[in-house]
Amino acid sequence: MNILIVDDQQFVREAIKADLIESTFEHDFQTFEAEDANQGIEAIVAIEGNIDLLILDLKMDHCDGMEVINFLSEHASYVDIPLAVISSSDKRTLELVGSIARSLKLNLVGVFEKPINMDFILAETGRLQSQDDHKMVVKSPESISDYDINQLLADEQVLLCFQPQVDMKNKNIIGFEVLARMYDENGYIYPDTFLPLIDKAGLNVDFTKVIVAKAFRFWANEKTLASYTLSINVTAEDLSSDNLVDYIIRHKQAHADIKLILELTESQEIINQASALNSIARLIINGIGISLDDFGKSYSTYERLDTIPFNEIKIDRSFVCDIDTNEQHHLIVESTIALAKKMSVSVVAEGIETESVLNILAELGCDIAQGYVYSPPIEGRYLIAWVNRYVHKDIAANVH
Amino acid sequence: MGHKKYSYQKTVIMRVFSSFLRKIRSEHNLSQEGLRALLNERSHSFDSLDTISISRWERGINTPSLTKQSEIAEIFDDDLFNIYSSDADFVEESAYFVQLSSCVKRDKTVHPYYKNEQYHTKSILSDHADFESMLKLCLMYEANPRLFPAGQAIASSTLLKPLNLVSAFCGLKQLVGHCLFCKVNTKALFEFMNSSIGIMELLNVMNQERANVLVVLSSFGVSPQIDNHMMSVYLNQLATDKAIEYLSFSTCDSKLKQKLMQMKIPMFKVKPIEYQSKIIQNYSFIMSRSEVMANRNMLMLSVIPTREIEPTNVGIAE
Repeated sequence: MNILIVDDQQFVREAIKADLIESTFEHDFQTFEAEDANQGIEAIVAIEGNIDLLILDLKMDHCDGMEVINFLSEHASYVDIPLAVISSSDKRTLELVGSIARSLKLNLVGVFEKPINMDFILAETGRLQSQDDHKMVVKSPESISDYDINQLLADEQVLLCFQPQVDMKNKNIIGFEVLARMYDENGYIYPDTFLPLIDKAGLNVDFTKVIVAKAFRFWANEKTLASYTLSINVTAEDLSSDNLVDYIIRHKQAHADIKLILELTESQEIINQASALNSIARLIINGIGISLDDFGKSYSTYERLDTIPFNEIKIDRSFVCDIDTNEQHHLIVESTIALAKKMSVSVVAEGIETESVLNILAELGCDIAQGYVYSPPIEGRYLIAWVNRYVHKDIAANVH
Repeated sequence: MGHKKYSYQKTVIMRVFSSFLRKIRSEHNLSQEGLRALLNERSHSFDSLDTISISRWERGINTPSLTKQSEIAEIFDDDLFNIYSSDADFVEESAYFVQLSSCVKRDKTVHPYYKNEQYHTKSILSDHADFESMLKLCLMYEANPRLFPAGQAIASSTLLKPLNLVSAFCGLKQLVGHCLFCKVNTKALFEFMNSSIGIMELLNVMNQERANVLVVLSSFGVSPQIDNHMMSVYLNQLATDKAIEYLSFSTCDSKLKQKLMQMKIPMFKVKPIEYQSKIIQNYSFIMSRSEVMANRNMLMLSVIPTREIEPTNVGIAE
């Protein structure tokens, strides 16, 4: 992680650096320093905007941080630099600067009053990046070189986990979403680490094929699972591969009884490409359900609803997980569910962890619930045992 | 022992697993092809397995990842902890690893008063006379406002019964490490992680479904060895108590968080807590039993019979 600190006071810069070493929210970083706006701009240009966090003091001797803010906004290649403004000015000035930065469409982490808490700023930076769709993939180069993704995939070092989806009205299991893990001799490797590597190596289609093949074999072997839907994640990019679409359709044709749903993510542009639309049409014709994943997270998801006959939408976990305390998220979820009802599309809420969130979703008329409140992802070999336990507990609960 | 190489671990792992494989094959009267067919039928992890690989595993030329090993062990009603903890070489290697590895880089600072002396660990029960003072010290270190907020007296010991507190002492009564953990139900744990319930409700295991998760609330040692030793205490508990399906951490200690992340354990969530006009980060982690056992560092820590660790003076140039 590259961090540029622009502050005229040396002790502030030193304090920030000390905080960074101490807090180690991010343990692999490099810092750059500048003591005024001009130096800051020079530094940005010199490192070609390769900055993961720009910490900018607002009020400096002879100049102010607004110069840097204006500079960023005038150069398209720099507007995405995560920006944390720090200052000892009063709250209202901070708010004003915040709204200016936002209106200039800068990637604002936040405006922070001095003395600052570096751990908090880093946490906010991380949170912002993870919201920012797949951009969060800025991992330390060290962790990237740790894995030979080609070899891991060639050896099929892939493990399927399943997370249950439960009918909110009668509490019956509806189906399961497939969640992949990879592993090496040291332990498990998680999607936020391996997906970027797969993407970078151009192995998306091969990876999805491995998941589809393993999931189908698993479902076909376990008769207990036949009545449950099997949801697999695909990206819109995946769908531009005819080869993959054929592969999925062949599997579905060979196992017509398996209720396959593809959870579709990724950008609007690709989804609207004729080839992707064509693929979606073919999948639907072949009896494969299409679910619109991460609903509400990217730009004009409403437009997608209009073009494609989705069977289901999934509300993103970032909205769901705190609807009991976050009024904004509550509103978003409420209107999404209302819209889905009008369009006769079923709604899945994922990321449910507590009873109170579950109760609110039930009141709002959400159809299907998914999250840790029912179970963390379950490794394939324990799935049947989980189903049996859930079903029996449920029967017991209804008897008493 | 000083000339042992780090890679020796892998050699030991390879040897332990190859003898396990040969043992089960002869016990179950299976040919290599018979074993291949059985594994292939039972798990999708062995879709492309061939007898050549099995033969290489048995001859110790190669070995499958711990994840695959654990699947194979379970198919034969065994588990990795059982297999590895009964191998003297592996346990010795793990004990050696505890002394050397700090997991945390840059942690080379010498502690002001602890100079690698002899230390001993002690489990302190909630009805013990020292429990309250030891717990307070531990909470002071952890500085997690969600654990017994100031003012709320650490009241009756019956409510605290589920808490396990293990402390490490050197000299007369010098505290050099501790760990604090309890066994609860995942449902209550997620409510706790989301601040829907407090610590006392979390500890009220009587009102919960059966305990299935071990949650660590604090874990610390002044030296890398003691730090690892403290971690081995609850990992060993998890490994031996088969009713526990998950391991979780809920902590405000950024050092522990860093150590877990360096062990490649993904953070489940981070929640800022405002306390006395300061923002404190609360980190949560959760992993399944099989994730723990497939993590080489954690497996090595779990097999150490914790009472037998002898402190040594490794790392001190004299």
